[in-house]
Amino acid sequence: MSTTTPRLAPVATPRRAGPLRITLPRREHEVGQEPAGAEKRRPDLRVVPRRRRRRAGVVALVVCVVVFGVMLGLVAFQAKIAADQQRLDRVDQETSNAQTEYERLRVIVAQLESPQAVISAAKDKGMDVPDSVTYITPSANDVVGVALAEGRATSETTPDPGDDSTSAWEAVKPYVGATP
Amino acid sequence: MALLLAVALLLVVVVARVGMLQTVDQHRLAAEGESQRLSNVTLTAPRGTIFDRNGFELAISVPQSTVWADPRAVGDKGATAAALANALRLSPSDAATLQDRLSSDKEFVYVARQVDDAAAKAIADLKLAGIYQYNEPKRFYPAGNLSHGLLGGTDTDGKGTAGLEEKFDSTLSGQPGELIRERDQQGRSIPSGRRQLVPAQPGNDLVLTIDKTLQYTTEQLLAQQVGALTAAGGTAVIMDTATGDILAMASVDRDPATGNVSVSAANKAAVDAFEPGSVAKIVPSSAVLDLGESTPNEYWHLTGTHKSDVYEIEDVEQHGNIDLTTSEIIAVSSNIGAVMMANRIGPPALEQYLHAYGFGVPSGLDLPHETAGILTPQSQWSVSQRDTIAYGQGVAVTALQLTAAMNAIANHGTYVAPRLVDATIDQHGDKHEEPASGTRQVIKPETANEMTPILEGVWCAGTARHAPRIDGYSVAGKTGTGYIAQNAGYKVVGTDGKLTTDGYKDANGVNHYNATFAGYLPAENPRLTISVSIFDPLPSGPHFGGNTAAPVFSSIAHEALQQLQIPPSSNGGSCPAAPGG
Repeated sequence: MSTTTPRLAPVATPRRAGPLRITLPRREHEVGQEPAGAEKRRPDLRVVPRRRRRRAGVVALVVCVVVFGVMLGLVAFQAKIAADQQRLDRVDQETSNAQTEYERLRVIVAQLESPQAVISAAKDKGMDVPDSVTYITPSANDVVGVALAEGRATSETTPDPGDDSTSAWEAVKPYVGATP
Repeated sequence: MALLLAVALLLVVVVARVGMLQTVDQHRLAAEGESQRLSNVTLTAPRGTIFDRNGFELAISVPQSTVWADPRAVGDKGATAAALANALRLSPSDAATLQDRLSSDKEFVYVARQVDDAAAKAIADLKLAGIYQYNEPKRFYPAGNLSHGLLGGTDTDGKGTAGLEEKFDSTLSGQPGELIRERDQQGRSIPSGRRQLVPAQPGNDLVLTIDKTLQYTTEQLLAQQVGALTAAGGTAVIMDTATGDILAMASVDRDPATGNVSVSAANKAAVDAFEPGSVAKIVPSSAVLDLGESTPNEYWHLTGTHKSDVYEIEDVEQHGNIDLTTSEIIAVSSNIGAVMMANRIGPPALEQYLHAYGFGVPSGLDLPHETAGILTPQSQWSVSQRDTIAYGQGVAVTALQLTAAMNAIANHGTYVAPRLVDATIDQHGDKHEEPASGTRQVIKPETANEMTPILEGVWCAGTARHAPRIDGYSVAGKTGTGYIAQNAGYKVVGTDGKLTTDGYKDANGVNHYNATFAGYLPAENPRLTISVSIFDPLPSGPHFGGNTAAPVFSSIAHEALQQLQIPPSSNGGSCPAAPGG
């Protein structure tokens, strides 16, 4: 019969950096059950220091937050891309519509500028296409005379009395204006 | 345990399958997925615009809605067809055809192409299953029928089929582009998906030498005269003397059934050749002067008739033996005088000058269906043809050729090839001028200077003296009244006393004519050359060049001179003194 005294309390060991080793008390029924010659050892348990436990928790939390944040960011970024793509498609469509509208307005303007449209509009306003047109063509001397009277020409522009050539017309044309 | 084994086995199968999909089948599956997402759209190249010389649009393409259907997705075929037929205002037969199309097993059928905006909106508002729309360019001609025959047209696919649209189809068409993108089921682009764009290259624009307002005025004046004379049709061409630019080229037809005159769908001024009659006398008369074989004041002794093979040639105003100068022969348009001039220079020289003036030679414009006219080699001329060609029978020319020929005299003896395209505008908006027309000397400048007073004599005192005057402007030109060949087989008695066929008389023995006046003004400093031809006026009414075509020339010239601000003649438009002798 063993005379080992059951240990009821852990043996206090000096505090140190390494893990504490605690040997659990052995129960009476366990006494004498060890095989002969076996070293009497208790499972090694160690208590994680409270501070380290806290640090790991913080790290885990931070990692989770970061991962969640990154994933959220990615989702948000993807949503932004999708929204921008939709906006781009919309702008593309608006551009295409505007271009189409521009082309259609070009046709309308061209149709309004056509001789038939102008004549039709003139008739609607009570004007008539004359049966015949009489053109009055003043001579160069007549033109210069009028310009002199209005002070729009000087005497130097007066062509020679015997010279009624085209060059005289060109000299007085600026005083007649853009159209004769 | 069995359950565990079963689950494990299932897991192995799933993992193996995933592995297969990710390895062996990856390319096939990726391709299948891509094909479902990828959209490949052909971007239609906008067709180039055709402008007149002042930048007004004559032809322009605009996107219009084309309605199509996927019959597999159409629900009630009958109801859908009825709704579409109502929106498109289809006839019952067309509606039935549409329903047949919607009942087919195809993936794509056209419902209606290039519909107007109102119809497109009405169809879109119906929200019919299986009915879709996309934009397709449609060709518009904002000025209506203006220069219809010259511009031509395009088919539904935008390909040129006639006129300038056909000739310049490759220039106007451009290059289609392509847009490849990944899209979802609703057609929206997938963000960060594949996107590849090859932009469409728009077609080049054409800037013509045509003046829209002059073209319209010319067409209206020509149509008015053709209607008044109950003629078959007519042409008129306005050419810038110095550059050869065609400012207007008008062709009109009269519908014999209704009497309505409208702008011709064909460019008759370039595609219809006719025997010009006396206007061709400018060739032997200028040739005989140019070769030094005569002078304007030389007297020619004319007999009352001239025997040519089995025919007798007479002048319109019949006479006995008379003496006329070269100038007077042209002024009164003596056929016999012209024959004598042609005989003096001989057929080879006459042929040479005819070709030099552009008769029987392509104009260089190379318009679709344009004809070079008919001028057989002089070695093949018959006895009578050697004479008749001198006064414009036995040779066929177009109005365009006639205008260019007269223009050679106006331009101091230099032939200027007609020009229709002034410039092109590329896709960057850069304008590229077309080269100037080619030229060749036909007669010496001195000869042209001799011809001008002769041709002024036609206007002042000759066969065109009754045409309305153009106050302030001197005019030089020539009338022509050519017979129109008939296939009636009408028999006449020849000079040999035997019956022979007169190919110019109809079944009733009546002649038909093409009446022409071609001239230029101001005569002393020509700026414009204009030709007018009236085809087949009523033989019982006015039918000579002087009383049918010359008045239209006068009206057209009036408008052109004012619009182009061409100053009056230095001599106020007075006629030259009558030739001495």
